[in-house]
Amino acid sequence: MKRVYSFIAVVMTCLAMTAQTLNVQVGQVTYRVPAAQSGEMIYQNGETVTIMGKTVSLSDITQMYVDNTVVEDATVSVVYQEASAQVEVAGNVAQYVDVALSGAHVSISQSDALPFEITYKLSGASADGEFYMTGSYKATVELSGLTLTNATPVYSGAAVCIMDGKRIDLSVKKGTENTLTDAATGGSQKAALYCKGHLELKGQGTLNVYGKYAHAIKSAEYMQMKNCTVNVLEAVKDGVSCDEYFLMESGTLTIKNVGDDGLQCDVDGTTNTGELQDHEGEDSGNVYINGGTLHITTTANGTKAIKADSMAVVNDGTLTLTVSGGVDTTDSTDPSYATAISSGKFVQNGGSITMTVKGTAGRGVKAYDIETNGGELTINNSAAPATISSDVKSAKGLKAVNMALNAGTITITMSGNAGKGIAAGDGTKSSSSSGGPFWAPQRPGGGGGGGGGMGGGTTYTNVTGSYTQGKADGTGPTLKVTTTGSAYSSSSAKAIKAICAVTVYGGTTEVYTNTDGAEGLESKTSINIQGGKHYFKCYDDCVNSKGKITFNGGVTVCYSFGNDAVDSNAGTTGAVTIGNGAVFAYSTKGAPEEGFDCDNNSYIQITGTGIGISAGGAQGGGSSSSSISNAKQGYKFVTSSISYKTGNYYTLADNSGNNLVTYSFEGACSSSLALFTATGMTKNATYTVKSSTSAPTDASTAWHGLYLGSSAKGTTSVTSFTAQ
Amino acid sequence: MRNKWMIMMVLLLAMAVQLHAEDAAYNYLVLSQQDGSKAVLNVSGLRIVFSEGKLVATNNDGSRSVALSDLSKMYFAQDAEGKVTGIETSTSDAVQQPVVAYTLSGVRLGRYDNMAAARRSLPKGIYVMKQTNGKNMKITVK
Repeated sequence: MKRVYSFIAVVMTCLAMTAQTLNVQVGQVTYRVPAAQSGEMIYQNGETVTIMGKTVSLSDITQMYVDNTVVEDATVSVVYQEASAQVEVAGNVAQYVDVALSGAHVSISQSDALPFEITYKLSGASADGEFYMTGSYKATVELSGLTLTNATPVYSGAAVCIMDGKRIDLSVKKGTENTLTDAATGGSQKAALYCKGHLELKGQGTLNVYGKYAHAIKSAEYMQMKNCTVNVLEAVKDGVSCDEYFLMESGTLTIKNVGDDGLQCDVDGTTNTGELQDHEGEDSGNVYINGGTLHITTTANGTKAIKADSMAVVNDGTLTLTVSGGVDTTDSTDPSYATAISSGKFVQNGGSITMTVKGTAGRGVKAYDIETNGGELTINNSAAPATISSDVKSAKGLKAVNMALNAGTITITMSGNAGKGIAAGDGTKSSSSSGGPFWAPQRPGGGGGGGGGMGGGTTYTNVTGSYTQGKADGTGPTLKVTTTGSAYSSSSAKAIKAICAVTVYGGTTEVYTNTDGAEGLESKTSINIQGGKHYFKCYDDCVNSKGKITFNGGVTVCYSFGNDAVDSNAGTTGAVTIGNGAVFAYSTKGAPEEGFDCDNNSYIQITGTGIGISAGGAQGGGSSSSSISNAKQGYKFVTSSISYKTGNYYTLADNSGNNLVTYSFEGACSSSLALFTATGMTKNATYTVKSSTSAPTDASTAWHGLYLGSSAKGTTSVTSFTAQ
Repeated sequence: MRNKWMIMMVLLLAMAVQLHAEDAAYNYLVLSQQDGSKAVLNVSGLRIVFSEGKLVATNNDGSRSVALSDLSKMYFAQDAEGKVTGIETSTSDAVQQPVVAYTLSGVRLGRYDNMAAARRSLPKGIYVMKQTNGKNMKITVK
């Protein structure tokens, strides 16, 4: 077998040796002309020779020699050798390129007559060199182990500058590591790696880029990335900047030590085309992440890890985004905050995004529209608030005018003071009403109108935007929002704050807050829960609105340990409406905090056949009432004292012992105002509440202390009543 | 298993020979002068420089110089007589053996089973077709 291999090797070697090539060396440039292609090479007047269309002055020719070099058509190779560079041009493209050199500074000009694509192969190392190319035909640039620093600019300050407005494939060859560094002074380049046209990064090698003057990588048109590993290790401005759109299919992009944004994409022209099919002719300013891994860290004031003029769309991939810069107040009328993703619209359809936000008043995502349809989004925001122009600016997890959390797993943890996990809607801030700010630590006692309902806070006019969670079919995201920060100046922490109306169709929600003023879900307009399963464990109000609050589907458990469980300040009939579904609302704070607080019990409406259980302190002063008009099913306000204990399971049953609902408490609750209404309750019928220390085991739904569809029966009588 | 390897290697060898057959050996460089005279140089070790109004060629056979003012052209040849397989113009599809198509600037476009297949596949234009016997033909696809 060895003899066979040896024989083949010898034959192959002999074959290779017979491919003659004429090498025409002109200084540092060698034109490699395959004998088979050379044809007649014409001398003119003893001054020039024309070979394959390329005319060269004889006086410029260093030498010509013939060897057996195998020439790859349509290629130009540049090998950097510290202070110099050697350029090799394939014969069939010789007539289309002009090469100029100054030491290791290489400039190549492609003729507009070039009929096909040239591949430029760059390798070697130089501490003072560059590659500068002009042309009007698409090209491929291969990096095959290139370490290039432009110390003293000749053609531009960039390490690689491609002034060709067409598609440029930049292929980082497999197994190679390449490093580009531009000039810190002496140039006016836009980036260490600059491309006037469309830059398509590919290959399976590694590219390191240091932008010492402006951006690290800049494409004046769209930019795509696939397979390769790109490390932006330093930039005075953006790590990666491009126009039209940015599309990442795969590979790894790491950006750090940048003076401005990590990845920025702008609309190039005056008209935004929006997303187009196959991105053909697209000038949208969109960022698309379809796969791959991104690690982006920014530290400068007001900077964004990803900034898109229009949309930032994450379809797949793994993104780790960290921003820690403070507030940029260069424009005092429009301060800029460190933000992980800032765009006109943010859409997540898949993938995994982890955001760490540390900068003052920093945001996870800020967009006009936010839409989540899948994937995992985790935001850890520890940013502190700040007062700017007498206005408190606090950190946000998600901030948008229109928020549509349709699907996906979203986990937001806010630990800075006054932080808002989600902020939705917009409006004109008008005044602070008489009830005083709801964050105020000195809360009035039980004598105030509406008991614990703080009806105050900022009011808004000209409200715009929307907040929806889940879809009409009952599906929705898995949402968990936690805030641990305290109030700051006039601003409280909130888990979800909406100026606009809130509609919850489905999904699963868990909300946790633990400081005064930190409400779970607040809307300045209204809240409508239509489906899904939701759990609020909050120091302040779990669900609060200046408008009406409606429970008409799904299962909602509200546990407040410092304020009302549900608080509407609508001050009108229907302030709290119980339709279908189930809501269990309790406050362990004691009087005057209530399960359902809407200033007057008569404002409560029962419009469906759902379940509503509340427990809490007594109705405060003012126009309390014990009756509900036009209730669709039986109900009862129980004002006698009930001492609910943890570890007990309380079953509401009819006179025949049928379980209507079982509920339990996370904290001891001394209730002096309780509302009972449940599916099947009828007026004038008798109902009992009995306790047991055994949890129901056969509930069709068990959700944070609420058990539906169970056959459990209590053993110890707690209370009984006749339904109204 | 061993036989499979053998077969594979033989096939690779055959392919290499086939590819090589497409590139005829040009072992000579012909310097043609204004008066029609020719100097045929063996390319083995050939090096040419231009100095003091002369082309100075050096190879394993020695050194030779030609006044630049006398030079008209140079080309590669396949034998010591300075002959080169000319490029004929073909208008027929009689060539039944495989051909490789090139643009006039030397860009390889592809390999075809025969001339007719090449004509069917290529867009309008003029091409140089290289046969496996080393013979070249120029064709026009209309």
